[in-house]
Amino acid sequence: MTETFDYLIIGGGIFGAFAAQHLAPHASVALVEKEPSLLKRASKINQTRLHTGAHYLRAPRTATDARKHHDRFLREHQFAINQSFRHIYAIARQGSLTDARGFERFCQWLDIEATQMQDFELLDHNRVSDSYLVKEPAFDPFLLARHYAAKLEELDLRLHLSSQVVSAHRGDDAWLVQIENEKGERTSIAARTVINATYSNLNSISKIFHLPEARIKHEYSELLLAYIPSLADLAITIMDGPFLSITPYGMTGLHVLSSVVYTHHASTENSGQRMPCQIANGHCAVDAFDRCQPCKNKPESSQKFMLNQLRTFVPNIGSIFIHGQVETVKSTWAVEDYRDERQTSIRKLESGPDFYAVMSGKVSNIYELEYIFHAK
Amino acid sequence: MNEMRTSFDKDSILLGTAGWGDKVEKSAALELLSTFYQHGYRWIDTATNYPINRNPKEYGLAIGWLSEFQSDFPDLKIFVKAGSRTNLGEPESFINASYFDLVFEMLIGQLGDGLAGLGVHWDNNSSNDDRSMLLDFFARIHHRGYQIGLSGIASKESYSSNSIGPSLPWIYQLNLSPARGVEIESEIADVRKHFPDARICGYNTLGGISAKDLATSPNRMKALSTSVGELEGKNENEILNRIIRRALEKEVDALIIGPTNASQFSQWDLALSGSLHD
Repeated sequence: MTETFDYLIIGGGIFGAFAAQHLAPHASVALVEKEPSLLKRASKINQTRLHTGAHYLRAPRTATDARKHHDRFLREHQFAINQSFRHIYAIARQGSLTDARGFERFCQWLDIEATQMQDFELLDHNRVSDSYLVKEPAFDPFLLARHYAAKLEELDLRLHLSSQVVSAHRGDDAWLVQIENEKGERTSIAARTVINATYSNLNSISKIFHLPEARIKHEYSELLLAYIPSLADLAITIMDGPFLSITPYGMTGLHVLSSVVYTHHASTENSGQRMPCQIANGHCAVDAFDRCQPCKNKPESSQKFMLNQLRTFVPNIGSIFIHGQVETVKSTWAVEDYRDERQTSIRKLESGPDFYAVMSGKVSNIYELEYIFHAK
Repeated sequence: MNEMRTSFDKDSILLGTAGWGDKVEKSAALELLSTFYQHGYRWIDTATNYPINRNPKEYGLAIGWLSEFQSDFPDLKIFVKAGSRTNLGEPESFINASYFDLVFEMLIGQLGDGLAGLGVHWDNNSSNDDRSMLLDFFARIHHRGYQIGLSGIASKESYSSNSIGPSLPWIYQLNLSPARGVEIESEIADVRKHFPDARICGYNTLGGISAKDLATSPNRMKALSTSVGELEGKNENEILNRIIRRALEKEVDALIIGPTNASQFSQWDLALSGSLHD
């Protein structure tokens, strides 16, 4: 038996969950998520920085989108926001694509308060010229996941966890979709509108629907988690180029270290070759990724290099207690690296029945989905 | 009334790893694990901050070794305690649901199917703060088939004064150090009162030193400012037998043993099977 829905949302990250939360009170909604729970992958495995835009000097669209939604996201997700620390943006003396004046002008343009700090003692001032205090909090991905799971539980919607779309074709006024759960059981769904919010697996879903693929670059990324007593109430971002950020990881009491050079181990585009780890594990396709965290074929950790780089800029950092690392595939539009864009983009790939492809960028950009809600 | 147990089955014995990377070198740890495994034991007890040797670079080393070794021991069951963010041996701990969610994710990445359980390690917050989110986390992972545990918590009330905590089948780790006397009984009674479904797991069975050291150098115990008590003047075999008998008398459900090499483990194995003569 085929059940008909107004919306089928594919992907239970924060974008998919937010869409379901807003659509379900007014329409019939089904949500399909590959993992056994919501907000499991990209929503969780990232720097958890609630971007103001200050980080994106070379990506004006990403910066303005982040700025546009920052305050609203903060207001509506207070329960999951860590504001108990100071975020220091420091400008590298060598190799930076900006300087102090450039950073100040950019912050002014974005209407972000950046207060210059004098002699911030943890940093090596032979390596950084200036440092600024920027109000930029962190979100807690686990609290967000709990929040959205609880919200969706209250709503009348069909949630298919541990399930995947295995086939789809276009009917007269609806997409006819087959979903398979972990036990191999199949369910047929007809949906008048499909929202594909699967992030790194975006193209693999488009392919199942026989729709055009987007040019997406995928990067296997490793983030390091550590307890660093000297940074108890601090975050540090070194600007602007092949440097690093160390920020509180939500409310976990740990910091997450991300390095532009060492976090990304390998990359591919949907039209290109698979990454070595994908070839080795045999079941990841060039545009369809399993979880990296438990994968036996993931690349060797760059921990040593990331820590060396951190100590170079922050020589007085003191003891670092490494708790581990988390890995995932990060996806962005395949554009030239120097542009550094990570913007959210929603494309309507088909009409009547409708199909939207959501390439998500920053977490606060969930509000960009209102474009779809309003279109209806 | 139940009859007292006369021995521990193999699933009730956990190999302790607190000394790995400190008193136990990597090759000895591997040999010890291999012997333990060959004798049919599967459970390992470890913590995210072992070895507690005040060397930040070695935080998590014991789990790192287990992760490396485990491909040769496919059905190993590793119980991990978390909470202390350092290995300095200080009472620092950070306990909230997000921290445990994150640690759980990382441990799955590191140990895969070998991860069999997760427990709180040192919750020094003696206030009765609401821990409902943390308890909800433990209920969730228990539902997924993981063992859950408590070790070194300052306030049992904070875990039991709600609807979730008392109903969970915790593995409650309890200090069985020879230096402790009758307070062990009152602590066990207190645990049973707060957590009726808990299983008691004894640790620190030799006060942190080997039976051989205890037998040959009782002064060492005195130097450690503890009392040998009933074990004073006994030989190595007698000490092991008495430790096991004592745990059985106290109706402890499981035991963490801490041999530091394969031959010490073999002695433990004989004692556990009742074949080690005084």
